[in-house]
Amino acid sequence: MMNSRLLKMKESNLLAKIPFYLFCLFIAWFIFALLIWPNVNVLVDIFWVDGELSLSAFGRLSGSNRAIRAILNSFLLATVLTVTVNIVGTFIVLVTEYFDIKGARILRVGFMSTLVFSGMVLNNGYLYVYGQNGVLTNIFTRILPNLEPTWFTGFPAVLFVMTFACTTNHMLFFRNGVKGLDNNTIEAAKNLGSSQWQVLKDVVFPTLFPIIMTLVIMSFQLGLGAMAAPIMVGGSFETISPLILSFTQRPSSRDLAALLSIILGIAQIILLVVMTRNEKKGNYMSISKTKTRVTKQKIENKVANIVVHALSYILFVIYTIPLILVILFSFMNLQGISQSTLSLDYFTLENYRAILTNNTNYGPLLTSAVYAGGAAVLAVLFMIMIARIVMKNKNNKLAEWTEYLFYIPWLLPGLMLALGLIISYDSPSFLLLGNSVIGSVWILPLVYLIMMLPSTLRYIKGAYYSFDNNLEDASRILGSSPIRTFLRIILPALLPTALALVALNFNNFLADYDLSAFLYHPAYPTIGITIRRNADAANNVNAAAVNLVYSVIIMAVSSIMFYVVYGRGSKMGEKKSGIRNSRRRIKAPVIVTGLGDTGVDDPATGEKA
Amino acid sequence: MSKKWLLTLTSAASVLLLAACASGDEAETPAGNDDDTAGESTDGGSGESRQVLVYSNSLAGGRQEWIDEMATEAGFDMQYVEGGGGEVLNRLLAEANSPQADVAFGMDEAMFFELVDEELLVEYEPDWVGEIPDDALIGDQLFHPLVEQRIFMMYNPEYVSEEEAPSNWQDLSDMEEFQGRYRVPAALGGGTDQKAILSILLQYIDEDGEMGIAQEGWDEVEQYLANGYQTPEKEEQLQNFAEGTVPLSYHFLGGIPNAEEEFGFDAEIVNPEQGVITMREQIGVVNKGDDHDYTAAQEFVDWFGSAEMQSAFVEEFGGLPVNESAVDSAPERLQEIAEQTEPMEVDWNFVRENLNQWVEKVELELMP
Repeated sequence: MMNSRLLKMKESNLLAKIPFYLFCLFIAWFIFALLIWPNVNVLVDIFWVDGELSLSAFGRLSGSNRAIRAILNSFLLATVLTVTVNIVGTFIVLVTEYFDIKGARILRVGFMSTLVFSGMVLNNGYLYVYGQNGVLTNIFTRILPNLEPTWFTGFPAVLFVMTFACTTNHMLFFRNGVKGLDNNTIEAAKNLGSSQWQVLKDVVFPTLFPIIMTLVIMSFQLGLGAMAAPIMVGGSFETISPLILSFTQRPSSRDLAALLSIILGIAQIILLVVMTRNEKKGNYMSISKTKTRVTKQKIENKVANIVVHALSYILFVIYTIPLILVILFSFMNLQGISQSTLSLDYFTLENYRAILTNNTNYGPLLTSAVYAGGAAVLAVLFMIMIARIVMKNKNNKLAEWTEYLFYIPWLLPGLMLALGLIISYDSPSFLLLGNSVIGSVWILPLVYLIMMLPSTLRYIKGAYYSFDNNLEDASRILGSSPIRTFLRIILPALLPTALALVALNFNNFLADYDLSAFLYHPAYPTIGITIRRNADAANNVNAAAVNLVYSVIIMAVSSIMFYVVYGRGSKMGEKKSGIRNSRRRIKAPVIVTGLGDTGVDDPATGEKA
Repeated sequence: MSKKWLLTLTSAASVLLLAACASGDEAETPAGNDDDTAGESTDGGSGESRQVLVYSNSLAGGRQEWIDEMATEAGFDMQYVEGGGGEVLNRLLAEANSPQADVAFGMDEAMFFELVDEELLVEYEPDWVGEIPDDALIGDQLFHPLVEQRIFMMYNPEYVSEEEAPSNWQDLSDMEEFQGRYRVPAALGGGTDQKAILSILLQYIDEDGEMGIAQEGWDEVEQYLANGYQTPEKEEQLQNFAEGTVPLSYHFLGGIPNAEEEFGFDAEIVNPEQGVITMREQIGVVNKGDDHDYTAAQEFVDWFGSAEMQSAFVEEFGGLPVNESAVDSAPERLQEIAEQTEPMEVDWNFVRENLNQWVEKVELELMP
């Protein structure tokens, strides 16, 4: 009898495992058919010329001072930027979420603006402030008559813009981490006589180490891949990405693009591997089992308090003035815009009227929203599952390699990945269940999805680390089924990060042009295509104005998306995860399960400890 | 157990979603591969809708809407893929094994020769071919010209007198007074920017030189780029030109009337001894296999390239038609510039063979 029961259990175990094995099969197929095979094909296509391996790209690159300089510049930028972005990013999160700073809510809105205000249009905004005819430049030249009006250029300018532009990730993920801190540990340290600095150094930062790691990797990558800032304010300071783009677009120079891109990708992955190794050594869960919400810390040192307040508001001004100017300039006509002069004489609503009344804009905007949104949601769901498998099997080599394979899209530019898919599947292939990618509607969102995978996986993994495994065990021991545990314990804990990633991925691809031009279906043009059609400098002298108006409209759409998904969505998730119930049951002090906390958008509710 | 079940369910859902998209696509694609059969059924019948998928770089600025309206009236069922010239070309080349487009138009002869190389075009003689000057027919009936573009140097006479003005592109780099005051390309992705470089290189063709160009030519290009002004992304080069900070520049013929009106200048055109680079936007029927029915595509080429349509097109959007019967419809300013300049003799086959290498060399080694 004992035997038969065991047998039954084994059987049911095996049966239960079938879906899991099917999923593994799906992962294997995905990795091979969509990540490895297309990229191998495109590399062969590029480097295999007339039946032999052609490595002339090395020679052509090393003979080019311009290319070498661009590579060095990119690495210089990445290195310095990693330091500056993390300092500023940590600072703005601490002043809005950890320290008790007056007006933190309004500060937060300003610091979060980079989520929708980025790329070319952000640089444009900075130039309205610091560029020739810029607001600050005009003031400076009055004080210092010798100052060149074009002073804002080169490496310092790029570094300055990107230091503030690239803190988006901090405001999303580091913020989630800080909000998920356990107040008990902080209080305990304080009771033991630690100073505020010691608490930060010995309690707060160590707990958030995996997130900080991720942010270091991501800011390094943002620096390496810098595109908009070097083009707009870099002047003679050139970086690799613009070169990669122009080489990719010319078939005979694609080997150069691939080589440059692989150099960047390998640097990125080496950093990732080193970080991942370090990450595994640590243990990052917080000590207490009943977390309480972080109480905002008042800075005790008066001078320090004043300095921090002042710095916070200076940063707020740095963040918001360019955005405000972009919005104001979108109401100027071409003269106003090209002379960078704000004036009521130049005020016009014509550009808005022309775009908003043009019905051909709405279909493409919807298409782009569906593509970017669908890809964003699927990418995040998929990577949650992958991260779970990877984290469950930390010491399994296969799982480790699975993880690394999902970073493949970092190695090649998106356009080349798209080319790989086309080369591999330009006729119906059994690898795609008899489908072909050419002329299909779904290739464009599929490429979006693939491009979203690496950073999504990286962030989800970071979020898993700060999640307390004991809670999962507890839930199981108390009799919850694994699915219940996943839905009620794990998912709510990951939800803020997951939703932030959906919003971030959506925004990154909403106004895509380069991939669209290559892949869009004739029946469903994307908004990027429409923008170019209406704002192409060669065909429309009013292009600068039209572009600005489109940028503001895209920012508005992104903001709505961000608010709905991340702002409202986190709150919904909190309700669903039952935090409200637990709050009702437990009287004073307000102690909650500690899991949904990370998603609470309203710090006020939990402050009374 | 059920957690894993959830994983599978979700992944299955994603697969289903993808599959649903794919099948939806097949149902909704009017101009995909399936129109082989659709074409056969309309064979000979004129009343039914004729589906044409056009790939073009000449659809921006209201052109697509205009063409669409006229084409629908003429009984065509149109779809479009648009982008910059290089982007449309890349897409056509990438899709070579399974071409989607029925007709390609707007790219210049060098790009169309690349399509010819990949056997992406089929022969067709449009019924308006008799109205095209003989020397403009270089495509072996695989492609035919629609609109002529010229790319030339220009100066702003408010700031540069006729005596001061340079007489050729390579003179600029030696003129003290214009150091940093003439516009040079900041990137070579665009056709017009490439032509500025070609305007110098093609004067120094030398079989023994590197990539068919004498060393002197490369030196001139390097000098030209080093001493000129690269317009930063934020600045508007036409504004600089109008204000006189950069009073020497280059432009393409079709864009002149709008630019002059919007920025308030009257450009003087330089016609160097070798002439100005003149290219022609072409049209061709895309090769979709021997058993494909090309009737609709051919009818579109006949219709769009006709003198009547080309006249209407340039009246609306400017441009200089190659079709002799339509030239008079071109804006006066364009006709005037066309008379002031002499087309340069260019061996487009030679250019096509070398252009990409030239551009790459300039980008890697000569750009400052």
